[in-house]
Amino acid sequence: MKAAPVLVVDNVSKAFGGVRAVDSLCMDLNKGEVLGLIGPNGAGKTTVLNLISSVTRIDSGDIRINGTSTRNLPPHGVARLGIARTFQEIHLFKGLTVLENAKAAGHLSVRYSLFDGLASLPRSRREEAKIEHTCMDILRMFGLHGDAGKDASSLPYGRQKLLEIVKALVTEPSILLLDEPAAGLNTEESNELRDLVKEAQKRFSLSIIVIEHTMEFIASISDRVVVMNFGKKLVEGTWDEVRCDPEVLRCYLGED
Amino acid sequence: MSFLEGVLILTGIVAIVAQGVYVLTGLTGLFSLGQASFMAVGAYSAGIANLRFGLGFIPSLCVGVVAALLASFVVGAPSLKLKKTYFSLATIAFGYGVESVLNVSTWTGGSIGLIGVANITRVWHVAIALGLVLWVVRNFKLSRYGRACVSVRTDETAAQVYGVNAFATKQMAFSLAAALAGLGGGLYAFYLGYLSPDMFGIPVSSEYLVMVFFGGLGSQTGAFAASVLLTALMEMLRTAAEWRVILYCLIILITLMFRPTGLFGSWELSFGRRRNGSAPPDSPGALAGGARK
Repeated sequence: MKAAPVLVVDNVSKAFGGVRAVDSLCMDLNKGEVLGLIGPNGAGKTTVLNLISSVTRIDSGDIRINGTSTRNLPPHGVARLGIARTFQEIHLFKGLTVLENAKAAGHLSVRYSLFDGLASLPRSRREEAKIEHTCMDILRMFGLHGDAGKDASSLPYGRQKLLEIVKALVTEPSILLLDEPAAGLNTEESNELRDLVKEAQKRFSLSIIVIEHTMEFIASISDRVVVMNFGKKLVEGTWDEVRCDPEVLRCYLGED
Repeated sequence: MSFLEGVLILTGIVAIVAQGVYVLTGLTGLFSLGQASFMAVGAYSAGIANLRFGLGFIPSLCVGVVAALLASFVVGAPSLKLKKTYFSLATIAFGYGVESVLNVSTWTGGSIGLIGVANITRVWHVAIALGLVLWVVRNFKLSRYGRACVSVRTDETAAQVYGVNAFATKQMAFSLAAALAGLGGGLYAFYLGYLSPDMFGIPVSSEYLVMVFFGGLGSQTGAFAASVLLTALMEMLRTAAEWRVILYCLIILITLMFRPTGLFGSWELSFGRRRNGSAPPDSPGALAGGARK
Protein backbone atom coordinates (compact mmCIF):
# COMPACT_ATOMS: atom_id res chain seq x y z
CA MET A 1 0.00 0.00 0.00
CA LYS A 2 1.26 3.46 -0.89
CA ALA A 3 1.99 5.86 1.98
CA ALA A 4 -0.07 9.05 2.18
CA PRO A 5 1.58 12.02 0.44
CA VAL A 6 3.30 14.57 2.72
CA LEU A 7 1.85 17.48 0.78
CA VAL A 8 -1.50 17.61 -0.99
CA VAL A 9 -2.55 20.49 -3.23
CA ASP A 10 -6.28 19.93 -3.51
CA ASN A 11 -8.14 21.75 -6.30
CA VAL A 12 -6.46 25.09 -5.52
CA SER A 13 -7.27 28.29 -7.40
CA LYS A 14 -5.86 31.78 -7.13
CA ALA A 15 -6.69 34.82 -9.24
CA PHE A 16 -4.96 38.19 -9.34
CA GLY A 17 -7.60 40.56 -10.65
CA GLY A 18 -8.82 38.88 -13.82
CA VAL A 19 -5.80 36.62 -14.23
CA ARG A 20 -6.26 33.05 -13.03
CA ALA A 21 -2.69 32.48 -11.88
CA VAL A 22 -3.48 29.02 -10.53
CA ASP A 23 -6.58 27.23 -11.78
CA SER A 24 -8.04 24.16 -10.04
CA LEU A 25 -4.62 22.65 -9.47
CA CYS A 26 -4.26 19.22 -7.90
CA MET A 27 -0.91 17.67 -7.10
CA ASP A 28 0.77 15.53 -4.44
CA LEU A 29 4.26 15.34 -3.07
CA ASN A 30 5.28 11.92 -1.78
CA LYS A 31 7.70 11.36 1.05
CA GLY A 32 11.31 11.45 -0.01
CA GLU A 33 10.64 12.41 -3.62
CA VAL A 34 11.91 15.27 -5.74
CA LEU A 35 9.11 16.82 -7.75
CA GLY A 36 10.09 19.07 -10.64
CA LEU A 37 7.64 21.87 -11.41
CA ILE A 38 8.12 23.25 -14.92
CA GLY A 39 6.26 25.31 -17.45
CA PRO A 40 6.64 28.44 -19.56
CA ASN A 41 7.03 31.85 -17.93
CA GLY A 42 3.83 33.00 -16.28
CA ALA A 43 2.48 29.48 -15.91
CA GLY A 44 1.92 30.05 -12.19
CA LYS A 45 4.77 27.97 -10.77
CA THR A 46 6.03 30.56 -8.30
CA THR A 47 2.46 31.31 -7.26
CA VAL A 48 2.09 27.63 -6.33
CA LEU A 49 5.10 27.88 -4.00
CA ASN A 50 3.74 31.14 -2.57
CA LEU A 51 0.40 29.46 -1.91
CA ILE A 52 2.01 26.44 -0.27
CA SER A 53 4.10 28.66 2.03
CA SER A 54 1.08 30.94 2.69
CA VAL A 55 2.98 34.01 1.46
CA THR A 56 -0.09 34.35 -0.80
CA ARG A 57 -3.56 33.29 0.37
CA ILE A 58 -5.50 30.76 -1.69
CA ASP A 59 -8.91 31.70 -3.11
CA SER A 60 -10.44 28.23 -3.10
CA GLY A 61 -9.39 24.65 -2.55
CA ASP A 62 -7.12 23.40 0.19
CA ILE A 63 -3.49 22.60 0.87
CA ARG A 64 -2.65 19.94 3.44
CA ILE A 65 0.74 19.23 4.95
CA ASN A 66 0.84 15.81 6.60
CA GLY A 67 -2.92 16.07 6.93
CA THR A 68 -2.99 19.59 8.40
CA SER A 69 -4.78 22.24 6.36
CA THR A 70 -2.80 25.44 5.85
CA ARG A 71 -5.79 27.50 4.73
CA ASN A 72 -5.88 29.75 7.76
CA LEU A 73 -2.22 29.62 8.69
CA PRO A 74 0.11 32.64 8.38
CA PRO A 75 3.53 32.02 6.74
CA HIS A 76 5.24 31.51 10.11
CA GLY A 77 2.59 28.94 10.99
CA VAL A 78 3.33 26.99 7.81
CA ALA A 79 7.04 27.13 8.64
CA ARG A 80 6.22 25.41 11.92
CA LEU A 81 4.79 22.48 9.95
CA GLY A 82 8.25 21.82 8.56
CA ILE A 83 8.11 23.71 5.27
CA ALA A 84 11.12 25.70 4.13
CA ARG A 85 11.58 27.57 0.89
CA THR A 86 13.93 29.72 -1.10
CA PHE A 87 12.92 32.63 -3.29
CA GLN A 88 13.61 33.27 -6.93
CA GLU A 89 15.38 36.49 -6.04
CA ILE A 90 17.89 36.74 -3.19
CA HIS A 91 16.27 37.37 0.20
CA LEU A 92 19.29 37.56 2.50
CA PHE A 93 19.22 39.62 5.69
CA LYS A 94 21.38 42.54 4.59
CA GLY A 95 24.07 43.73 6.93
CA LEU A 96 24.29 40.44 8.79
CA THR A 97 27.21 38.07 8.37
CA VAL A 98 26.84 34.69 6.69
CA LEU A 99 26.69 32.91 10.06
CA GLU A 100 24.24 35.43 11.51
CA ASN A 101 22.02 34.98 8.47
CA ALA A 102 21.97 31.25 9.06
CA LYS A 103 21.31 31.68 12.78
CA ALA A 104 18.48 34.13 12.10
CA ALA A 105 16.89 31.59 9.77
CA GLY A 106 17.15 28.99 12.54
CA HIS A 107 14.63 30.91 14.64
CA LEU A 108 12.41 27.85 15.21
CA SER A 109 15.28 25.47 15.96
CA VAL A 110 16.41 27.56 18.93
CA ARG A 111 14.19 27.09 21.94
CA TYR A 112 14.36 29.33 24.98
CA SER A 113 12.07 31.91 26.51
CA LEU A 114 12.38 35.68 26.24
CA PHE A 115 13.34 35.76 29.90
CA ASP A 116 16.16 33.23 29.32
CA GLY A 117 17.40 35.47 26.53
CA LEU A 118 17.16 38.78 28.40
CA ALA A 119 19.07 37.42 31.39
CA SER A 120 21.43 35.29 29.27
CA LEU A 121 20.62 32.24 31.40
CA PRO A 122 22.48 28.94 30.83
CA ARG A 123 19.61 27.53 28.78
CA SER A 124 19.89 30.32 26.22
CA ARG A 125 23.69 30.01 26.05
CA ARG A 126 23.39 26.27 25.52
CA GLU A 127 20.85 26.69 22.75
CA GLU A 128 22.91 29.45 21.12
CA ALA A 129 25.97 27.21 21.10
CA LYS A 130 23.88 24.43 19.58
CA ILE A 131 22.44 26.53 16.74
CA GLU A 132 25.88 27.93 15.97
CA HIS A 133 27.18 24.38 15.70
CA THR A 134 24.29 23.33 13.45
CA CYS A 135 24.75 26.36 11.22
CA MET A 136 28.50 25.84 10.87
CA ASP A 137 27.89 22.21 10.06
CA ILE A 138 25.50 22.99 7.19
CA LEU A 139 27.66 25.89 6.01
CA ARG A 140 30.58 23.44 5.83
CA MET A 141 28.50 21.03 3.79
CA PHE A 142 27.93 23.82 1.26
CA GLY A 143 31.53 25.02 1.41
CA LEU A 144 30.59 28.33 3.00
CA HIS A 145 32.17 27.85 6.42
CA GLY A 146 35.19 29.91 5.39
CA ASP A 147 32.89 32.87 4.72
CA ALA A 148 31.01 32.58 8.03
CA GLY A 149 32.25 35.93 9.34
CA LYS A 150 31.82 37.83 6.07
CA ASP A 151 29.00 40.21 5.31
CA ALA A 152 26.48 38.02 3.46
CA SER A 153 25.76 40.59 0.76
CA SER A 154 29.47 40.74 -0.11
CA LEU A 155 29.42 37.13 -1.35
CA PRO A 156 29.35 36.46 -5.09
CA TYR A 157 25.90 35.71 -6.52
CA GLY A 158 26.33 31.95 -6.75
CA ARG A 159 27.38 31.68 -3.12
CA GLN A 160 24.49 33.88 -2.02
CA LYS A 161 22.18 31.39 -3.72
CA LEU A 162 23.85 28.56 -1.80
CA LEU A 163 23.45 30.50 1.43
CA GLU A 164 19.72 30.77 0.76
CA ILE A 165 19.53 26.98 0.65
CA VAL A 166 21.64 26.69 3.79
CA LYS A 167 19.18 29.03 5.53
CA ALA A 168 16.25 26.91 4.43
CA LEU A 169 17.98 23.77 5.76
CA VAL A 170 18.78 25.36 9.13
CA THR A 171 15.04 25.46 9.83
CA GLU A 172 15.14 21.62 9.98
CA PRO A 173 12.40 21.17 7.38
CA SER A 174 10.79 17.99 6.13
CA ILE A 175 9.63 19.64 2.91
CA LEU A 176 11.84 21.97 0.89
CA LEU A 177 10.55 24.27 -1.87
CA LEU A 178 13.20 25.61 -4.26
CA ASP A 179 12.31 28.40 -6.67
CA GLU A 180 14.80 28.43 -9.55
CA PRO A 181 17.86 27.59 -7.45
CA ALA A 182 20.11 27.33 -10.51
CA ALA A 183 18.99 30.55 -12.23
CA GLY A 184 22.01 32.67 -13.06
CA LEU A 185 24.50 29.90 -12.34
CA ASN A 186 26.85 28.47 -14.97
CA THR A 187 26.77 24.76 -15.86
CA GLU A 188 29.53 23.84 -13.43
CA GLU A 189 27.90 25.71 -10.54
CA SER A 190 24.55 24.27 -11.49
CA ASN A 191 25.89 20.71 -11.38
CA GLU A 192 27.54 21.36 -8.03
CA LEU A 193 24.26 22.71 -6.71
CA ARG A 194 22.38 19.65 -7.96
CA ASP A 195 24.77 17.32 -6.15
CA LEU A 196 24.46 19.37 -2.96
CA VAL A 197 20.68 19.30 -3.09
CA LYS A 198 20.73 15.54 -3.61
CA GLU A 199 23.13 15.13 -0.69
CA ALA A 200 20.99 17.32 1.54
CA GLN A 201 17.90 15.39 0.54
CA LYS A 202 19.46 12.12 1.61
CA ARG A 203 20.99 13.48 4.79
CA PHE A 204 17.89 15.28 6.07
CA SER A 205 15.36 12.92 4.39
CA LEU A 206 13.64 15.75 2.58
CA SER A 207 10.75 15.84 0.16
CA ILE A 208 11.46 18.54 -2.41
CA ILE A 209 9.54 20.60 -4.96
CA VAL A 210 11.87 22.39 -7.35
CA ILE A 211 11.05 24.96 -10.03
CA GLU A 212 13.72 25.25 -12.70
CA HIS A 213 14.07 26.35 -16.30
CA THR A 214 17.31 24.42 -16.86
CA MET A 215 15.98 21.14 -18.18
CA GLU A 216 19.22 19.24 -17.53
CA PHE A 217 18.80 20.16 -13.88
CA ILE A 218 15.19 18.95 -13.80
CA ALA A 219 16.00 15.81 -15.77
CA SER A 220 18.81 14.77 -13.48
CA ILE A 221 17.18 15.47 -10.14
CA SER A 222 13.43 14.86 -10.44
CA ASP A 223 11.67 11.62 -9.62
CA ARG A 224 8.52 13.07 -11.10
CA VAL A 225 7.65 16.19 -13.08
CA VAL A 226 4.52 18.34 -13.16
CA VAL A 227 4.13 20.60 -16.20
CA MET A 228 2.00 23.72 -15.78
CA ASN A 229 0.62 26.15 -18.32
CA PHE A 230 -1.77 29.07 -17.72
CA GLY A 231 -2.28 28.05 -14.11
CA LYS A 232 -3.36 24.52 -14.94
CA LYS A 233 -1.60 21.20 -14.71
CA LEU A 234 -0.85 20.04 -18.22
CA VAL A 235 0.69 16.65 -17.57
CA GLU A 236 2.42 14.75 -14.83
CA GLY A 237 4.86 11.87 -14.96
CA THR A 238 8.53 10.96 -15.08
CA TRP A 239 10.81 13.22 -17.08
CA ASP A 240 10.99 10.74 -19.94
CA GLU A 241 7.21 10.56 -20.09
CA VAL A 242 6.52 14.28 -20.07
CA ARG A 243 9.29 15.41 -22.41
CA CYS A 244 7.75 13.56 -25.35
CA ASP A 245 4.20 14.56 -24.54
CA PRO A 246 2.71 16.45 -27.51
CA GLU A 247 0.89 18.92 -25.21
CA VAL A 248 4.16 19.83 -23.51
CA LEU A 249 5.96 20.24 -26.79
CA ARG A 250 3.17 22.48 -28.01
CA CYS A 251 3.25 24.76 -24.97
CA TYR A 252 7.02 25.12 -25.14
CA LEU A 253 7.48 25.28 -28.88
CA GLY A 254 4.13 26.72 -29.97
CA GLU A 255 1.63 25.37 -32.50
CA ASP A 256 3.14 23.59 -35.47
CA MET B 1 21.36 67.87 45.44
CA SER B 2 24.23 69.35 43.50
CA PHE B 3 24.02 70.45 39.87
CA LEU B 4 26.37 67.66 38.83
CA GLU B 5 24.21 65.03 40.52
CA GLY B 6 21.19 66.39 38.71
CA VAL B 7 22.96 66.18 35.35
CA LEU B 8 24.11 62.62 36.05
CA ILE B 9 20.61 61.47 37.02
CA LEU B 10 19.01 63.09 34.01
CA THR B 11 21.64 61.70 31.67
CA GLY B 12 21.18 58.21 33.06
CA ILE B 13 17.41 58.39 32.66
CA VAL B 14 17.69 59.58 29.07
CA ALA B 15 20.20 56.80 28.35
CA ILE B 16 17.73 54.20 29.69
CA VAL B 17 14.91 55.46 27.46
CA ALA B 18 17.29 55.70 24.48
CA GLN B 19 18.17 52.01 24.87
CA GLY B 20 14.50 51.25 24.29
CA VAL B 21 14.51 53.40 21.16
CA TYR B 22 17.58 51.49 19.99
CA VAL B 23 15.68 48.19 20.30
CA LEU B 24 12.64 49.59 18.51
CA THR B 25 14.26 51.66 15.78
CA GLY B 26 17.79 50.31 15.51
CA LEU B 27 17.01 46.61 15.70
CA THR B 28 13.41 46.39 14.52
CA GLY B 29 13.23 49.38 12.16
CA LEU B 30 10.07 50.91 13.65
CA PHE B 31 9.78 54.63 14.23
CA SER B 32 7.84 55.73 17.28
CA LEU B 33 7.07 59.33 18.11
CA GLY B 34 5.46 58.26 21.35
CA GLN B 35 8.43 57.21 23.49
CA ALA B 36 8.20 60.35 25.65
CA SER B 37 4.50 59.60 26.12
CA PHE B 38 5.37 56.15 27.45
CA MET B 39 7.72 57.97 29.80
CA ALA B 40 4.74 60.10 30.82
CA VAL B 41 2.62 57.00 31.43
CA GLY B 42 5.42 55.52 33.57
CA ALA B 43 6.10 58.78 35.39
CA TYR B 44 2.49 59.62 36.20
CA SER B 45 1.61 56.04 37.15
CA ALA B 46 4.59 55.82 39.48
CA GLY B 47 3.89 59.30 40.85
CA ILE B 48 0.22 58.58 41.47
CA ALA B 49 1.03 55.21 43.04
CA ASN B 50 3.29 57.03 45.45
CA LEU B 51 1.17 60.10 46.06
CA ARG B 52 -2.34 58.70 46.15
CA PHE B 53 -1.77 55.09 47.19
CA GLY B 54 1.28 55.54 49.37
CA LEU B 55 3.39 52.90 47.58
CA GLY B 56 7.15 52.94 48.12
CA PHE B 57 9.88 53.76 45.60
CA ILE B 58 10.47 50.33 44.02
CA PRO B 59 6.78 49.24 43.94
CA SER B 60 5.85 52.57 42.36
CA LEU B 61 8.54 52.13 39.70
CA CYS B 62 7.10 48.68 38.97
CA VAL B 63 3.62 50.20 38.62
CA GLY B 64 5.07 52.68 36.11
CA VAL B 65 6.74 49.94 34.04
CA VAL B 66 3.60 47.79 34.01
CA ALA B 67 1.42 50.76 33.02
CA ALA B 68 3.75 51.57 30.11
CA LEU B 69 3.73 47.91 29.06
CA LEU B 70 -0.08 47.83 29.04
CA ALA B 71 -0.19 51.04 27.02
CA SER B 72 2.20 49.52 24.47
CA PHE B 73 -0.25 46.67 23.87
CA VAL B 74 -3.15 49.08 23.48
CA VAL B 75 -1.22 51.11 20.87
CA GLY B 76 0.58 48.18 19.23
CA ALA B 77 -2.20 45.62 18.82
CA PRO B 78 -4.21 47.57 16.25
CA SER B 79 -1.33 49.36 14.52
CA LEU B 80 1.54 46.88 14.24
CA LYS B 81 -0.25 44.68 11.72
CA LEU B 82 -0.46 47.65 9.35
CA LYS B 83 2.39 49.15 7.36
CA LYS B 84 5.17 50.72 9.38
CA THR B 85 4.03 54.22 8.44
CA TYR B 86 0.63 53.67 10.07
CA PHE B 87 2.32 52.43 13.20
CA SER B 88 4.28 55.68 13.37
CA LEU B 89 1.06 57.63 12.92
CA ALA B 90 -0.56 55.66 15.73
CA THR B 91 2.30 56.59 18.05
CA ILE B 92 1.80 60.26 17.19
CA ALA B 93 -1.89 59.93 17.97
CA PHE B 94 -0.94 58.25 21.24
CA GLY B 95 1.41 61.14 22.03
CA TYR B 96 -1.31 63.76 21.55
CA GLY B 97 -3.83 61.58 23.37
CA VAL B 98 -1.66 61.21 26.46
CA GLU B 99 -0.91 64.91 26.56
CA SER B 100 -4.61 65.84 26.28
CA VAL B 101 -5.68 63.39 28.96
CA LEU B 102 -2.99 64.65 31.32
CA ASN B 103 -4.06 68.23 30.66
CA VAL B 104 -7.73 67.75 31.46
CA SER B 105 -7.71 65.06 34.13
CA THR B 106 -7.97 66.48 37.64
CA TRP B 107 -6.64 63.21 38.96
CA THR B 108 -3.25 63.82 37.37
CA GLY B 109 -3.26 67.48 38.39
CA GLY B 110 -4.33 68.83 34.99
CA SER B 111 -2.10 71.29 33.22
CA ILE B 112 -0.54 72.39 36.52
CA GLY B 113 0.81 68.93 36.97
CA LEU B 114 1.30 66.37 39.67
CA ILE B 115 2.97 67.96 42.66
CA GLY B 116 4.44 66.39 45.75
CA VAL B 117 5.94 63.09 44.60
CA ALA B 118 8.63 61.98 47.02
CA ASN B 119 12.16 63.10 46.15
CA ILE B 120 13.96 59.77 46.21
CA THR B 121 15.96 59.08 43.03
CA ARG B 122 19.71 59.31 43.59
CA VAL B 123 22.64 58.81 41.25
CA TRP B 124 23.29 55.26 42.42
CA HIS B 125 19.68 54.23 41.74
CA VAL B 126 19.99 55.43 38.17
CA ALA B 127 23.44 53.89 37.79
CA ILE B 128 22.18 50.45 38.85
CA ALA B 129 19.11 50.72 36.64
CA LEU B 130 21.17 51.83 33.64
CA GLY B 131 23.75 49.07 34.15
CA LEU B 132 20.99 46.48 34.28
CA VAL B 133 19.27 47.92 31.20
CA LEU B 134 22.50 47.96 29.16
CA TRP B 135 23.14 44.33 30.08
CA VAL B 136 19.59 43.22 29.30
CA VAL B 137 19.48 45.03 25.96
CA ARG B 138 22.86 43.54 25.00
CA ASN B 139 21.53 40.06 25.81
CA PHE B 140 18.38 40.77 23.86
CA LYS B 141 20.35 41.84 20.81
CA LEU B 142 22.38 38.62 20.82
CA SER B 143 19.39 36.35 21.50
CA ARG B 144 17.07 34.65 19.02
CA TYR B 145 14.56 37.41 19.76
CA GLY B 146 17.03 40.13 18.80
CA ARG B 147 17.82 38.27 15.58
CA ALA B 148 14.09 37.99 14.89
CA CYS B 149 13.83 41.79 15.21
CA VAL B 150 16.69 42.30 12.78
CA SER B 151 15.25 39.82 10.28
CA VAL B 152 11.84 41.50 10.42
CA ARG B 153 13.54 44.84 9.78
CA THR B 154 15.62 43.71 6.82
CA ASP B 155 13.19 41.34 5.07
CA GLU B 156 9.82 40.75 6.65
CA THR B 157 8.63 38.19 4.09
CA ALA B 158 11.75 36.08 4.45
CA ALA B 159 11.60 36.35 8.23
CA GLN B 160 8.07 34.94 8.24
CA VAL B 161 9.04 32.09 5.97
CA TYR B 162 11.69 31.12 8.53
CA GLY B 163 8.95 30.94 11.16
CA VAL B 164 9.25 34.41 12.71
CA ASN B 165 5.90 35.85 13.79
CA ALA B 166 6.46 39.39 12.50
CA PHE B 167 3.60 40.95 14.42
CA ALA B 168 4.56 39.36 17.74
CA THR B 169 8.20 40.33 17.18
CA LYS B 170 7.32 43.98 16.56
CA GLN B 171 5.01 44.00 19.58
CA MET B 172 7.79 42.53 21.72
CA ALA B 173 10.27 45.22 20.62
CA PHE B 174 7.66 47.94 21.11
CA SER B 175 6.75 46.68 24.58
CA LEU B 176 10.38 46.36 25.62
CA ALA B 177 10.97 49.95 24.48
CA ALA B 178 7.83 51.10 26.32
CA ALA B 179 8.88 49.31 29.51
CA LEU B 180 12.27 51.04 29.44
CA ALA B 181 10.56 54.39 28.81
CA GLY B 182 8.23 53.64 31.73
CA LEU B 183 11.20 52.86 33.97
CA GLY B 184 12.91 56.08 32.90
CA GLY B 185 9.68 57.99 33.54
CA GLY B 186 9.31 56.54 37.02
CA LEU B 187 12.86 57.47 37.98
CA TYR B 188 12.21 60.93 36.55
CA ALA B 189 9.09 61.38 38.68
CA PHE B 190 10.98 60.51 41.84
CA TYR B 191 13.84 62.77 40.84
CA LEU B 192 11.91 65.96 40.08
CA GLY B 193 9.11 65.47 42.59
CA TYR B 194 6.59 67.06 40.25
CA LEU B 195 5.32 66.31 36.76
CA SER B 196 3.60 68.37 34.12
CA PRO B 197 2.13 67.29 30.75
CA ASP B 198 4.43 69.49 28.66
CA MET B 199 7.53 67.58 29.81
CA PHE B 200 6.61 64.66 27.58
CA GLY B 201 5.49 66.02 24.22
CA ILE B 202 6.24 64.76 20.75
CA PRO B 203 9.30 67.03 20.42
CA VAL B 204 10.85 65.11 23.31
CA SER B 205 10.07 61.80 21.57
CA SER B 206 11.76 63.02 18.42
CA GLU B 207 14.84 63.99 20.41
CA TYR B 208 15.23 60.33 21.33
CA LEU B 209 15.08 59.37 17.67
CA VAL B 210 17.75 61.95 16.89
CA MET B 211 20.00 60.56 19.62
CA VAL B 212 19.81 56.97 18.41
CA PHE B 213 20.19 58.07 14.81
CA PHE B 214 23.20 60.21 15.70
CA GLY B 215 24.85 57.36 17.60
CA GLY B 216 24.30 54.92 14.74
CA LEU B 217 21.13 52.87 14.30
CA GLY B 218 23.09 49.63 14.27
CA SER B 219 24.98 50.19 17.49
CA GLN B 220 23.88 49.82 21.09
CA THR B 221 27.11 51.50 22.16
CA GLY B 222 26.26 54.36 19.81
CA ALA B 223 22.80 54.82 21.32
CA PHE B 224 24.33 54.93 24.77
CA ALA B 225 27.18 57.29 23.86
CA ALA B 226 24.96 59.67 21.91
CA SER B 227 22.33 59.87 24.63
CA VAL B 228 24.96 60.62 27.25
CA LEU B 229 26.81 63.10 25.08
CA LEU B 230 23.78 65.05 23.91
CA THR B 231 22.03 65.15 27.29
CA ALA B 232 25.12 66.29 29.10
CA LEU B 233 25.71 68.91 26.41
CA MET B 234 22.14 70.18 26.66
CA GLU B 235 22.31 70.40 30.44
CA MET B 236 25.50 72.42 30.19
CA LEU B 237 23.75 74.77 27.77
CA ARG B 238 20.62 75.08 29.91
CA THR B 239 20.57 78.88 29.58
CA ALA B 240 20.25 78.63 25.79
CA ALA B 241 17.37 76.16 25.94
CA GLU B 242 15.58 77.64 22.95
CA TRP B 243 18.56 76.71 20.75
CA ARG B 244 18.00 73.07 21.56
CA VAL B 245 15.74 72.33 18.59
CA ILE B 246 18.03 74.15 16.16
CA LEU B 247 21.02 72.26 17.50
CA TYR B 248 19.22 68.93 17.04
CA CYS B 249 18.32 69.84 13.47
CA LEU B 250 21.94 70.70 12.79
CA ILE B 251 23.05 67.40 14.26
CA ILE B 252 20.76 65.48 11.91
CA LEU B 253 21.90 67.45 8.88
CA ILE B 254 25.58 67.09 9.69
CA THR B 255 25.20 63.39 10.44
CA LEU B 256 23.34 62.79 7.18
CA MET B 257 25.95 64.69 5.20
CA PHE B 258 29.14 63.36 6.69
CA ARG B 259 28.36 60.11 8.46
CA PRO B 260 25.02 58.65 7.39
CA THR B 261 25.55 55.49 9.41
CA GLY B 262 25.80 57.55 12.60
CA LEU B 263 28.73 58.09 14.92
CA PHE B 264 29.35 54.41 15.61
CA GLY B 265 27.84 52.71 12.56
CA SER B 266 27.47 49.14 13.71
CA TRP B 267 30.54 49.11 15.90
CA GLU B 268 30.09 47.74 19.42
CA LEU B 269 32.26 48.06 22.46
CA SER B 270 33.24 44.58 23.57
CA PHE B 271 34.86 43.15 26.65
CA GLY B 272 37.04 40.30 25.45
CA ARG B 273 34.25 38.05 24.34
CA ARG B 274 33.42 38.02 20.64
CA ARG B 275 30.50 40.17 19.79
CA ASN B 276 28.84 40.09 16.46
CA GLY B 277 27.39 43.43 15.65
CA SER B 278 24.66 43.63 13.09
CA ALA B 279 25.34 46.26 10.51
CA PRO B 280 23.06 49.28 10.56
CA PRO B 281 19.89 49.44 8.54
CA ASP B 282 21.14 50.79 5.24
CA SER B 283 21.23 54.42 6.28
CA PRO B 284 20.70 57.13 5.19
CA GLY B 285 17.72 55.45 3.59
CA ALA B 286 16.98 54.12 7.06
CA LEU B 287 14.81 57.05 8.06
CA ALA B 288 12.88 56.79 4.83
CA GLY B 289 13.00 53.01 5.15
CA GLY B 290 10.70 53.19 8.11
CA ALA B 291 8.01 54.47 5.84
CA ARG B 292 8.59 51.73 3.33
CA LYS B 293 6.89 48.42 3.96
